[in-house]
Amino acid sequence: MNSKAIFRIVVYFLNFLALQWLVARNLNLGGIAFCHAYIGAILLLPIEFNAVMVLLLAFASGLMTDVFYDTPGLHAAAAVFAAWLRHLNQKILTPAGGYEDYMEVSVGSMGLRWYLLFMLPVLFFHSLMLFLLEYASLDHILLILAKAAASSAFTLIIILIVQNALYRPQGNR
Amino acid sequence: MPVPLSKRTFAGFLMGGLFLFFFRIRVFMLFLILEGLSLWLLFSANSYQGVVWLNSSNAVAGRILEISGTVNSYFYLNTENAELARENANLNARLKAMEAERASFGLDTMHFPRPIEYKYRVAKVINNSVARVKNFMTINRGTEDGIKAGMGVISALGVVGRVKNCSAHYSTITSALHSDMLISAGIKRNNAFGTIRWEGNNPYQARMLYIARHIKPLVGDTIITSDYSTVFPSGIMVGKIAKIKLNDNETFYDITVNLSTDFSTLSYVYVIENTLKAERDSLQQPTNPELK
Repeated sequence: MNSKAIFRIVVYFLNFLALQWLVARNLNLGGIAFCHAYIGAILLLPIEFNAVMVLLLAFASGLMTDVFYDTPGLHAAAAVFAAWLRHLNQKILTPAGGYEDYMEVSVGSMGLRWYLLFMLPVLFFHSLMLFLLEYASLDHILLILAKAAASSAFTLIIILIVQNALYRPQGNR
Repeated sequence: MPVPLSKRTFAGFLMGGLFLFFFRIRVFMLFLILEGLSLWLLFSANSYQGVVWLNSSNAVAGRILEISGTVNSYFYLNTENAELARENANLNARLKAMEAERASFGLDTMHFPRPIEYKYRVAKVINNSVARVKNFMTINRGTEDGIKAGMGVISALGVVGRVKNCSAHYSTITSALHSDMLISAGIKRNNAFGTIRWEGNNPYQARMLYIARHIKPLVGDTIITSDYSTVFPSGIMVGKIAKIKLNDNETFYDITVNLSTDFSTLSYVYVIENTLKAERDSLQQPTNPELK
């Protein structure tokens, strides 16, 4: 990994966190769909990034997000859960020949099917975890499921927009 | 490094195997540790003072929120103006009424001097949310301005919440739109008192609890804070009754209240200090330890 690639990862990461703290925090559609764009920072790390680092980064970014939401531990718990799911999911989705160095988490590089299978389950279970912990009861389970489904779709759209607006693909591969 | 078969002991084998095992599941172990740490923070942070910096009243987060709040506030100048004008009108009306009252009473010999009970401090809301189950807001006043945890917060329109944490220049407030926040309130028309609690979904409505069967509340009745609260002065507007239901097998009414404060456009709030709170609490506590 050269210094340019590392710089790119850091910019990616901080961009998503800043987006979450300053803008996405105030976004919601009809009180059902919430935007948790900061998970994009964790999901879009290089595919075979060290899983231990992913977990630690997820914990740190979750905790910092919690500072802005006034919910110590809530987003950290959900983000760590998402990072672990990412680790499992990335193993499950390994292509026939294994991952190659040039592959990155994007529609252009991995194809739409892989991208959706990689992103959507993690986003959904992250939102589900978040709302379950927030309500801390199963009384509103249908509302929680609806919120999780809507939020993960909304978050995916925002992540796609950011990913394609800010980062041009690096040539044709 | 391979160890010759002859030198292998059972303990050595166990240690090597054990380390190998832990190395293999290191991701899962780290996941469990971090998840446990987060959940511990989540479920014990409310009472644990050591993590008090882990909220938006800490200096760095407060500064960032203030900057982003100044940008946002331009979009709400119209509503803010209208709100201030309405409050001005209200205060003017009260001034006139009090002047008239004073003129009619003249000298009241029964009046005895009493220390001023409530102090008001104005603050600007720099961070707010209404969409979650437990909502908090951040204001730009802190301990250096005399704010302390536990003080009541109101707006020109009605009750807002209670101060939770303070740093030197910022404070976080538990909004009335927080599922654990209880406000002692009463019906203005007949002095019946109960408790206001938010249900967690609609930011414009809350539930009024503990209004007994024999009382006759009406739709449209005004709900105000009661005399029993040490956080709020009595008579602060909470809302108006929107819906009343009485099930045959229940002791209390099921009352829905339209909140008078519009939490989604809140910009300026007043923090209320009850200068006699300590005295009143210290008198009430020994009598009824459950009362707060």
